[in-house]
Amino acid sequence: MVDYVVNKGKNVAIKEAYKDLDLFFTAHPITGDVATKSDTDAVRRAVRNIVETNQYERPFKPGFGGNVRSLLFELDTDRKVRRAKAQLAEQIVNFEPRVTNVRCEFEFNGNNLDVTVFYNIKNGVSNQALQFIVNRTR
Amino acid sequence: MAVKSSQLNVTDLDFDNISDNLKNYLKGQTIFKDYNFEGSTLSVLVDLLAYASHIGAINTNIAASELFLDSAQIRKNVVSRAKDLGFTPSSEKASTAVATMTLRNVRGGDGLVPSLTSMIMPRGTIFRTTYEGSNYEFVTATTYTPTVDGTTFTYSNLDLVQGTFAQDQYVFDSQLANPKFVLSNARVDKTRMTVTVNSGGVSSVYVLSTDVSTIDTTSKVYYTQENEEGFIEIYFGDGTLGAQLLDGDIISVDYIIVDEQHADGASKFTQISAINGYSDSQLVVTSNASGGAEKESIESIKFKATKFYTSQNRLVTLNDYKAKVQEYYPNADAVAVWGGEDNNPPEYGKVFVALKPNNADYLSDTEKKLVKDNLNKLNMLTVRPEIIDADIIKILITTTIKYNPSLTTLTAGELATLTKNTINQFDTDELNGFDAIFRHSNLLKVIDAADSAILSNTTNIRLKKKLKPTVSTNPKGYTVSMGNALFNPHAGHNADAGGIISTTGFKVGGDSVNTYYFDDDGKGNLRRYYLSGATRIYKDSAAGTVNYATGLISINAFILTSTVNADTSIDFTVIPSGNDVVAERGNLIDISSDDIKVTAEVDTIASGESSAGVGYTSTSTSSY
Repeated sequence: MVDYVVNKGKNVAIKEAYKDLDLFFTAHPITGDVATKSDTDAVRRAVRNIVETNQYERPFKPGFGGNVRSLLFELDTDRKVRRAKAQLAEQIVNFEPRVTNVRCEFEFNGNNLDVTVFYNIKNGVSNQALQFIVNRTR
Repeated sequence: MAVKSSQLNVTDLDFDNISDNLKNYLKGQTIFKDYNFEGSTLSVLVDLLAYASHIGAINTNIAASELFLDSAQIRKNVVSRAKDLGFTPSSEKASTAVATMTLRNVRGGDGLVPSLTSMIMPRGTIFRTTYEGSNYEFVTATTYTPTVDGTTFTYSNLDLVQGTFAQDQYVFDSQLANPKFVLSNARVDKTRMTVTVNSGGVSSVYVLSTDVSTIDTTSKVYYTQENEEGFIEIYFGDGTLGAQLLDGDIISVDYIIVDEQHADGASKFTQISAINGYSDSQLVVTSNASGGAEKESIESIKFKATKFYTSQNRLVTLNDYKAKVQEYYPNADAVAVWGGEDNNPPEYGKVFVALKPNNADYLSDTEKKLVKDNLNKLNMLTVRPEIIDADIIKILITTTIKYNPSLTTLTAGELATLTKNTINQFDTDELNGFDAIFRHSNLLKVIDAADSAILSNTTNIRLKKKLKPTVSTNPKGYTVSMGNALFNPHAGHNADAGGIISTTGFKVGGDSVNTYYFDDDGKGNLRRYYLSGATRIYKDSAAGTVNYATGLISINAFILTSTVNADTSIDFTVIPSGNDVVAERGNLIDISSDDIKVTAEVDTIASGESSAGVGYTSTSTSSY
């Protein structure tokens, strides 16, 4: 997020930090306020929110979310895996304009699915990765 | 919406707008920045807040709407709002016929004729009718005691009510606060309900309370209301407004469960339940089944409740009469009311009510009396209501359509049927009230639009009105008001061929051989004639007068002995002066479905059969 301010008669580009709440709503150990996330952490949190949201969960936004739960009973075929990767990447690109070069990797580990999402933050840090594991809970 | 970001716009109710307003507001602070990104946690909170606001707004909107009679949508709320105005919606009404039954050859095995008491017809005796291909059961709503002549028992003026007889019983318990007794069936005719209370072995009939000013502490009355599920519930007085019931009192409610299809018009009944084992019966129907109606609709409640409140249960203005008549006779299709001073001729001190039922042209005498008796309870002392039949002017349509056969797969006959159906639909849509006007050009437009193959139409109309004279040995005169000017382009128009008036036949005193008819001479005289072959033999060239300007036909006094029409009537058919027909006062206009004549002709120019107009025929505007 680049903005411009006038400093001593000159336009100077400054970068304002992204700032968001943490979805876990943990308290700050000293102030007791709700903890915040900023910059790369805020973007990572946003990407994670998109990936972990299933479609029809957000009111009036049925198409929002990575919809990972829909993979639960899918067949383990190359075609399905490719489609799932594309679906996840597309959702992140659609709903998170701060990132670019999004790529998803799936790795099958027994009954678990290790998912890694790679992305670059625009005007920010490149080569970010978000990793999480999908498995049955019961 | 452009607002200062430090302010929160709270007027929107839509989810997206609420969400945008919240984001706009967040722009005014510096602590959080990510509200504009869908994936951010702040966005989750914004959506959640917008969702809660949206649902809250909807609930508030609905709740507020349901608080008012005009905007309420849910029936229980409409009924409740109407109750605030003192209006109780009418229940379903069962179709009712009146008949007299004779039970023949009533003789026991011992050869003796049974006693009258043993031959009393109990309440709930079943009769059956077959009407329009379906069977319907009718029952008696009360008991009837016959008269006897030899071995024939006669039950006069039976009210046969369509539906099923049922009874509910309850025990009163004062421990229950505000006790109400809900009937176990939804479709109940409230007007046929009998409530009996057995208190300590003494049975008393309780009546429905309609006027609280006549009720005292011992009045045996009950009240009804429609509950939230649409069922009727009854409750009793509290010792101040009506007698209070005691613990253990047994309440019996007899009622008729109304059928979903009303057999209005049924005229033939057979006995199903035997009376004391006898069923060799014959029924003569004096009044066909009529009056079946559904529970009052939401729209009707909204309309009538306000009118009811305005009239305050008194009949003063014309609208008061209109509202009350619809309350007493919910099956009314159209109601017209006018004061006697506006009548022709004026009759001061009267108010005229013309009523057309839904499924018939006229009210039965019983129904007229019922409505009149009810109106008499509320009207002013010096004004008397008169319930009269609606004067129905039938419009006879003769139309010739030209069509292009290459534009349709329909035959001429099928196109004619389609056109006839279109005309009938026009009648239903445009001519269903007392204030209706038949607009000729609108009908032409509708006929042209009935099918793309129809190129043009020539449509001519005549008017028909029924005169109901009385058969009597004393001479009597009549008037027939067409309410519209009659065609008379010059004095003596069409005098040789019978003018513009024609009638159905009738016989007069002193001549039992010839059948007579009326016509006119185009100079204002009504003539009476009979036919000798095709020649008209005039017996009276001044049998009455015709006022072409007002459409009033006056018939001098004559003795009528019979009519060709089975219902003792004479149909007058006339050619009107204009093509638009207006209904005044108690007149109803109606296109007579049986008298629609449609001829479909191939348009020879459009089809290429003839050119340059050679051989093309057009229809005369005076062909009927």
